[in-house]
Amino acid sequence: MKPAENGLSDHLTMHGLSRRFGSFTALDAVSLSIRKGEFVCLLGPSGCGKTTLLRLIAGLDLPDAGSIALQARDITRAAPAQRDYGIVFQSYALFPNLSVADNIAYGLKPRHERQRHRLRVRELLDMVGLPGAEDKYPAQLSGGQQQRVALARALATSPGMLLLDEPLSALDARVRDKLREELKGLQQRLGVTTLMVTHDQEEALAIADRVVVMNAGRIEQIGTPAEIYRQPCSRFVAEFVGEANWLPATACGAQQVRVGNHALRLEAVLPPDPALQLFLRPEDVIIKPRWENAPNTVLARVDNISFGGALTRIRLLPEGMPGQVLYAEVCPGMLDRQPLVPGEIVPVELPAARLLAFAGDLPC
Amino acid sequence: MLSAVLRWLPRGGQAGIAGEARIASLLLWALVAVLLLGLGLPLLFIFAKSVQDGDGGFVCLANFAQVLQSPGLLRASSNSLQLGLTVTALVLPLAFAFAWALLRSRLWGRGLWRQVGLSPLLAPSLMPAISLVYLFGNQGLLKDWLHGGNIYGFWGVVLGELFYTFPHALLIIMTALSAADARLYEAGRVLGAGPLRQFLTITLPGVRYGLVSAGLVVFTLVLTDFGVPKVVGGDFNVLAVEAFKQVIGQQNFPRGAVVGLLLLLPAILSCLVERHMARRQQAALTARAQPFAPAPAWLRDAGALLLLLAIGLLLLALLGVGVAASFIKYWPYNLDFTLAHYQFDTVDGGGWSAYVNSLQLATATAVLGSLLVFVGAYVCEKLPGMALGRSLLRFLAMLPMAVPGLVLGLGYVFFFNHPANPLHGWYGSLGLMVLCCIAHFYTTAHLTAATALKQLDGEFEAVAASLKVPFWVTWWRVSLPVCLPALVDVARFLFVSAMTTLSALIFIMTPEHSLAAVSIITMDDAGDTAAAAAMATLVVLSSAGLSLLLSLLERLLGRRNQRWRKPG
Repeated sequence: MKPAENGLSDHLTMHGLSRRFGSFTALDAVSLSIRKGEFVCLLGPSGCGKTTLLRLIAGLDLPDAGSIALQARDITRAAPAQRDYGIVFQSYALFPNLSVADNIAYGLKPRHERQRHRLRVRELLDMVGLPGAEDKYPAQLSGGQQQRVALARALATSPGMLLLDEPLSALDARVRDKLREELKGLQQRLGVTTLMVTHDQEEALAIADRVVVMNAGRIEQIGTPAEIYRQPCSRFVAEFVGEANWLPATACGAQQVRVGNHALRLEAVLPPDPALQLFLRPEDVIIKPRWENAPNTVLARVDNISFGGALTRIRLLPEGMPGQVLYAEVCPGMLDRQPLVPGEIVPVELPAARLLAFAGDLPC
Repeated sequence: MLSAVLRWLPRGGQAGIAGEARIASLLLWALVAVLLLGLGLPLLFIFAKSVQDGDGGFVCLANFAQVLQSPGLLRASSNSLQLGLTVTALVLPLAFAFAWALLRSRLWGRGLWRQVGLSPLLAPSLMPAISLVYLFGNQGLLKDWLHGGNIYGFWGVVLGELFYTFPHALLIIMTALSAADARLYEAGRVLGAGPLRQFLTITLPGVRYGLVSAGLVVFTLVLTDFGVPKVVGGDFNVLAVEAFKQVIGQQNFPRGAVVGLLLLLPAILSCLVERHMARRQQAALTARAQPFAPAPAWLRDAGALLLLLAIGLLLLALLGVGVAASFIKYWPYNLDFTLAHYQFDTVDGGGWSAYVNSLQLATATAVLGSLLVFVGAYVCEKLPGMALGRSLLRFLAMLPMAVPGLVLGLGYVFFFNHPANPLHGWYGSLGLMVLCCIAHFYTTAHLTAATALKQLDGEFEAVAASLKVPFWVTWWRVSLPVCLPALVDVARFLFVSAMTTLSALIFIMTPEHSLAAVSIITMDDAGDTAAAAAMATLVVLSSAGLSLLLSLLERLLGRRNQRWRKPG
């Protein structure tokens, strides 16, 4: 057990986990450590291996190679019951013939201590915000309420770790946002180590302490939500997480690239490839009030403006880059100039500090 | 008994966790062993017997050659084939018409008509044969209708088999017809298709698979049925009766084995065709399908009513005449009421003790069979790992579908009656008959249970495991209660089947342990037709009584369950 930099110890450590189904490699030598009390999200498109990894950790499936250790105890081949976790599935998997109280008390032992269980059930229902629901049956609850019961059941035995398999995907948007917030609050209050699988990048960035982005059975990047969003370390992560502008470019100097007939400067280091793709978040595009001859500034025609509530999305056609579209997202209140009109030519800065370069051709 | 087992098993806790996987695999292999004993080994012995001579020497295919050269057996084969094709061709349109009238009309009392359509299931196949004798036999009520002809022979058997196979065809076709998507009919109407065009382009293609499947089932049933040809066949000899004559009459085991293998052929062929079709068949109902609800149309409903009346009354007549005759002094000359035929003292066949034996057999089959089937289906569908054992168990569970009862019975004779078999002493006992019945009807019961279990969330076991609750607790507290309706269905099916079946059991029963269905044959053979009718009536009444009882029980339990089944 090696102590991590913040002083907390590793709760769960995976080393070189692989799992193949026939000729399909679901997991390819995955290594990961989760610290005690941490909220980690496994993020990736469907088929990336995130659910397979969760099932290996839960003991519902066995790896072909590699090992899993729980607090330095090897549990690679241990039965699920020997692993000390609670789990919540996307389908909730509540027992339909048992009342809410019986569902939550399902794992409490010994079974005859009804009085003690009743207290514990009440405590858990209060905790998940469903007081007084003891005698209801799952079919009488809404999706969000069922999700809360499933969470209470998973936490009933005070497990050392909570596993969540797309727990919010089956809910509608408003309930999902509310539950997401509550889930995070509950996790911080209990300090339970939590691993959640999701394909929703917004959800992962909002809830996790650390996000693990997976693709094709491998881990692409591990980092805090801000790191994943600001400094994606691979083309896949940059494309998968958030929105971005992609500009085809060619390298011409240590930190200089050419896009169309403009030369742009980057603060980031360029990959060795001569053909590059520049990456820039729409909110990092700066629309200037007036033209000044500054580096990384080009002229662009406003093509279209769409209202999006807090942010206004502007479709720009930069001059000197034929066929290239540039999206900018601006806060209407912070735009230090007259309202934009389609057809207008505006100066636009592509900040050198925000530009990243990746090797390769156009993203699909 | 179950709770005793549960008490014996370690309660969750430490012993449970380590032992859980071991108990699961123990359970699995115990089930495989039971099915191997009751199914696999007897079948192997038929194959072995068919290539041996009377003393056990290996004779390769000599027995087959001998059978092919004997004119009697060849005639029986061609008779069987002819009979199977005729009955299949007749029963399919009848069953289809009945199913259509039930499902595509808005008639009142369709549930009742459904029961009428399925009523032949309650009776042994001998019942229609006896009724036919009473109606058209030498002293039949309607003998004049035949203009000096005779019911004993081909057409008598056809009529009896029609009655016997009708509910089987009806069940399959009803399932196919009920999977209709209303959106297709709406699209058809919008595009200007009339009722006939809708029927030809939407309804018929939709049930194509069901019709073929029903045809295969009927064909196999007819070929391997033994009761009807025995009673009204007369000189019309068929393979099933021939196998019985060879084994029980002449004790010619090798030849019986060859005939048994011949009877296995159509069943295996059906299975192959069915599998091939199932692979091509796409899901008839997608999740977004709208259930079909017929629009009001009085002309169609009147036609449907006529259809139901015509077919339903025929079925009821073939069931009712036998029942009525059992209460009549001397058919058709003295029609006074009597219970004298129910005093079986003066006739052969075992009488009331045979009936009691049958009741015991059916009860034991229903109780033990449902338990076995439900545990088996649970192990197959819900427990992780053990891939080899589970696929073996699944194969053994599907095998009985391809094995006619008659063939299974022959296998039991060869295997359990073998002098070297340590279980030889078991031969002829009630226990062996229960095993035989469970094995014989295993597939249908297994599929019912497996279908019900598949509808449960696949994550229940994973959740239970994470909560450190062993799988048998989840089986007992969740899976079983939720699947209770299916469990009741399985129990009812096993009881009624064990009560009415004849084909397998006739080979393994002994005169001391007679059974109701077998005693009907014995009494009919001895000319005591009225007593045979009385025994058949008892079987029908017991089956109907238990079905009713289970329906009541289900409703009672249903009321208790309503709380969790109904939302809000």
